Amino acid sequence: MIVEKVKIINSLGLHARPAAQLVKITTRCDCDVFISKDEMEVNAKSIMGVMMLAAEVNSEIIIKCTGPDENLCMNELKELVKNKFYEE
Amino acid sequence: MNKKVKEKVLKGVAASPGIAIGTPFNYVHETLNVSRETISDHEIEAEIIKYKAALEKTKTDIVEDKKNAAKRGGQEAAKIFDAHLLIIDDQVLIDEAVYFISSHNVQASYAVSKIMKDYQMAFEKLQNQYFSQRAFDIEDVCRRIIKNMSSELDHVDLSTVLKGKQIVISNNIFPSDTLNFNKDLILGIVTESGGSTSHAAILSKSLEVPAVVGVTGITKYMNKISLMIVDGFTGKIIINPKPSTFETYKIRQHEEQKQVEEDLKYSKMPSVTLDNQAIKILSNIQSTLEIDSVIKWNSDGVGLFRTEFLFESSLSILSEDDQFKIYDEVSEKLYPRDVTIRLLDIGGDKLNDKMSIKEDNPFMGVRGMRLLFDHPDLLRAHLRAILRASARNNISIIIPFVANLTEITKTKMLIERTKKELASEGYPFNDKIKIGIMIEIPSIVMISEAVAEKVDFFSIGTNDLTQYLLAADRGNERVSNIYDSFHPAVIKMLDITIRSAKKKNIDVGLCGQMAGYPIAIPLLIGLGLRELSVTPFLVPVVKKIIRRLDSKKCRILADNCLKVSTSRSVSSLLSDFFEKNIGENPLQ
Repeated sequence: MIVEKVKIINSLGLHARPAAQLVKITTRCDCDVFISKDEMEVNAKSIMGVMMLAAEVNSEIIIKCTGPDENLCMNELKELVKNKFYEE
Repeated sequence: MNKKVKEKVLKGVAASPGIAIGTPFNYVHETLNVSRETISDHEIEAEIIKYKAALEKTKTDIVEDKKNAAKRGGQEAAKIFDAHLLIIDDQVLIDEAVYFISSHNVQASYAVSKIMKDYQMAFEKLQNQYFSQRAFDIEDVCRRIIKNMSSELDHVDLSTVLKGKQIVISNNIFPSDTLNFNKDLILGIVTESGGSTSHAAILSKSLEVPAVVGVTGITKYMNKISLMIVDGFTGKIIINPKPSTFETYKIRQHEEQKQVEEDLKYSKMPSVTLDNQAIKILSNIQSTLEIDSVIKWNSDGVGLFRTEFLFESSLSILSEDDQFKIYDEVSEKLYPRDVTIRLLDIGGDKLNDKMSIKEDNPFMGVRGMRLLFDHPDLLRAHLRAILRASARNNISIIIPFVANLTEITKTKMLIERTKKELASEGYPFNDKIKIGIMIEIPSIVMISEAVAEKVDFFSIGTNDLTQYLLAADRGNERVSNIYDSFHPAVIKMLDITIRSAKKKNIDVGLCGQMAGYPIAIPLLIGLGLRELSVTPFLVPVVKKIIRRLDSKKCRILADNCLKVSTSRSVSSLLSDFFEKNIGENPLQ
């Protein structure tokens, strides 16, 4: 299992479209992915779950990947967040 | 009808103009109370198959609704369903339901309703309004799934239950209700919840039926209403009107209909003054739903396309491509008319939860370009989308809320950079796209001559100009007596701006509320304006006045207004002129 903390930097946070982008990656990877923010932890393969985090700009999320693809998945997710979900 | 109540007035948000008088129809969404039924182990598999089939069916339904919405209301209306498709594809949600069915031996509809309620509650608790509103979308999607699995939840078919044309009252209107609503069936729409960007508001505007939304308490009165009036101009609902009120509104409604017929006649005539000065009458719009009105009222084009509404009403922030589709649709449908797009002006009165930053004095804080400069990625996508839609050469750009030259040169530089980017990617666009600015901060008026050398046109926004010049918040009732667009200082500001524009030979137009005040129009023409931009349905009203004006007489009126020192004197000069030259006030 690998765990990393990342900061949301796109100005609008994890709204519907970024959440969908994120889920596209997690559902493709062969590993369990959970994301937590504050007290809440959600399954990162669910768009509803990811949106429920209500992660706004500058909030920090903790990504947890467990399984064969964990490294690949984590890298892709970090890249996605760093690139502001390729939408701005 | 139960107990009769006396006339009562309720206040809501005016969502779509017009007056409706009629009986109410209570459009109820059945509360989702799917009872729990135990199924035996060997029934589980069949139940899961039924559930998956319902998912597929619902997905097809949503795609279909999306297509219809696109046809009827343009790109934005269709976007509502995009998020719904994301929800229905949520694998975890699907797995949860399957797990719940098999581990608890319950029927699929119960599993879906249980999961929906859990999510709904979790979302409703969220502090951020954007996220908490998603509870509403989850409910809509789950209702559709359940409906496709059972007969327990039947949608009311309005065409069979209405007693003639009625006013539809509902707690809220779901996107999936859209196709049920038809202009030939309903007189008006009233909802208990929702604001000016709610789905109900968008729907009623596209149907052109009077509507008032956010009327707290209306559903409680439901059984006590025998007759009601919906005033879509002021946002008033009058329950069981007294005979005198009824008469007043009957007359207003009749006049409104007569007005519409007469306006249509006027809209076909040319917009020229008695001494042959051509005046362009453009429209202020905020969504693609208003394109038809621009064409119907024969407006010369769009003088102000407010883009903030697109962002506020959308379920998610619009990507470059989403925006491009919208601007392209406006450009194409209105071609060869001009369309002036104002860059996203969020702030002050239109604070958006998605981007809001807490400020002590938001009207003087980060709004307009100030906010866009802080969000370079958002600005870049915005500019790219507008430029990409400019290939027909009928689009121009307005830079909002500028206080100094630096902001203008910076924006122009960014536009140039975007052009280079697009050129290298091979996108067609108008290399000579016109760039203008909003005149709404007094400082820019004082240096307008220098500014006129840097831009292609001025667009005067009288609402904000008045507010900033008189230091009176236009939304604050306690200073509403100070906020006054007829203050002589405001008129001097207009004069300075228009003179600077003429001297430097650039276009100048006015898109504030002032252009829609009948008595102010002679003054605006007198000051030298030849372009006014108003709400689409006011186009014929403005034209009617213009056709009775002599621009030389208007000039004398303007000179007189520039000499007096109180707004009362200005008002009386304007009223006198109006009475002598136009006659009755067409808006009274």
